Amino acid sequence: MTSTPASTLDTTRRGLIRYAAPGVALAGVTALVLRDPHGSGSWGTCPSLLLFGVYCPGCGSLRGLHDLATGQLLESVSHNLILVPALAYAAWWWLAQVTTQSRRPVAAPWDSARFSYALLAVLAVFTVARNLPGSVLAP
Amino acid sequence: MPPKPDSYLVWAILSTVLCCLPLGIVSIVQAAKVDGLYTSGQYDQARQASESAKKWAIISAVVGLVVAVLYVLLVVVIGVAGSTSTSSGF
Repeated sequence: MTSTPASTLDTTRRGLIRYAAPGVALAGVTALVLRDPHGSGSWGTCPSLLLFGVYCPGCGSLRGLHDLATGQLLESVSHNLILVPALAYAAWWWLAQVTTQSRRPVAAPWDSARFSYALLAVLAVFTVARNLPGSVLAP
Repeated sequence: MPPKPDSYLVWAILSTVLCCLPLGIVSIVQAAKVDGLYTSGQYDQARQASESAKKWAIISAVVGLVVAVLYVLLVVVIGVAGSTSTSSGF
């Protein structure tokens, strides 16, 4: 396969997760703060809305991220209800990753089959609910 | 008993919320398979499912990036954006 020792690969992987992931996240959020996604077409229209006229579970996430970054939590939640939980899950995962070697490691977030299927069910309900006429869950 | 292989669920969730729903769903199903096979003692199959979950996570990341770059190029730089009065869908 490869002559690189596994420990080197692990170190590279850990370094990427520890520094590159927050770096990419910060760059993305900065871009969203500098160019407000609330403006029409400022970042384009979600392909699912453009092609099928349907809100996907991700619709509103850019506006939600912008609002979250500028301290408007309620505004953010109104654009996309599942964005904050998704970010919390990602943050939890990141914490677990960077603390595996430490003396007090954070437990990894749930990833059981039951949780995954429940997630699919939640996504399905959320998608239908936000596309109902006059839905408060619409982005 | 080998350690449980990575299910890459975090990438599935991020791709669902931040970019591509279809790929996100495939990735979530793959993640569910990893855990299901592992808990039923099918370690080899669980490892294969993990590889598959990883592959799908990478596919969604690449597709998401390519679409995002093309889209931003088209919309922001060239200005193909429709000038509708409604706010953007993202």
